[in-house]
Amino acid sequence: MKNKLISKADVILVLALAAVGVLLFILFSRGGGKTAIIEYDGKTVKEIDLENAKEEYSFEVEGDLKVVFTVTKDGIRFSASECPDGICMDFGVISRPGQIAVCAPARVSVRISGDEKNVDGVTG
Amino acid sequence: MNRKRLENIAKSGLLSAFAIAVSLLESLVPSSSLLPPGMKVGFSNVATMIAAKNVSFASAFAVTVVKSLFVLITRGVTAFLLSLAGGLCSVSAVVLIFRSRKGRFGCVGAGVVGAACHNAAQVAVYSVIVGGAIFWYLPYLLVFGTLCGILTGAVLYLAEKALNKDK
Repeated sequence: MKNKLISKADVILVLALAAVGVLLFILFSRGGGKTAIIEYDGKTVKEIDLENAKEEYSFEVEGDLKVVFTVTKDGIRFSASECPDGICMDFGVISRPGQIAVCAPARVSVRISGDEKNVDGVTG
Repeated sequence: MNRKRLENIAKSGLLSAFAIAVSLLESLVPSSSLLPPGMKVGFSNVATMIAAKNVSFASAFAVTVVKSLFVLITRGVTAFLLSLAGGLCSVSAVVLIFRSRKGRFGCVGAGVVGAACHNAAQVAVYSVIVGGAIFWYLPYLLVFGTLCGILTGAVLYLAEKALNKDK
């Protein structure tokens, strides 16, 4: 088999995949609202209006493992988790629509929805 | 057993060991400052691509399965399923790329397609584990997965050049 670094088809492929990625990114980050939707096992367990969050506070969510969320005026983050890898905390503070943080071992996720109110429960 | 067959088995073993060692090294290096959380470049895919290109397509599948079995022993069933789903999907796509007539795709194409399929399969498995919210991670995976695929493709090209020097 011939060894070739990059071909015309490769360039088209790279551009197409990157374009789809960017397009989805723009699509997902629409909306001016700031609602954090916390899900466990695919079901919404809590919705928080981040725009009206002033005081910093934390709360626990019981997933397969226990996780702790902290809400600040800047957004929401996983602040503690019983999971072994801590990847959920690596996501840091999320605040813009379309952003997501996941703790797979606990099966808990949080994402920011851009919908102003009446959050669409079907998505996700 | 004829000589060719023995040679292929030995090469598959070597590449499997290489894949395991590389993925182990990769897990030791914190990548969260450069890549979105949970993401890796996937340098061990270079081993499966070398197998597909130089040994046989069966060898590429064998290396993928052996690599996942190591994950099963060290990181448990969930990680194993994620590894196997991503690996098999990725290697199937890479095999198709290498089989495509006239060799339309280069190493970068193989790396990028492999990465994209790896991520797609893992998102599918994750959606069963954590629910559909994981789909919101797709834009990040697509963009960064493509970058990682370019990187592994480039490494594959350099490895191929070094391996086939005497030919």
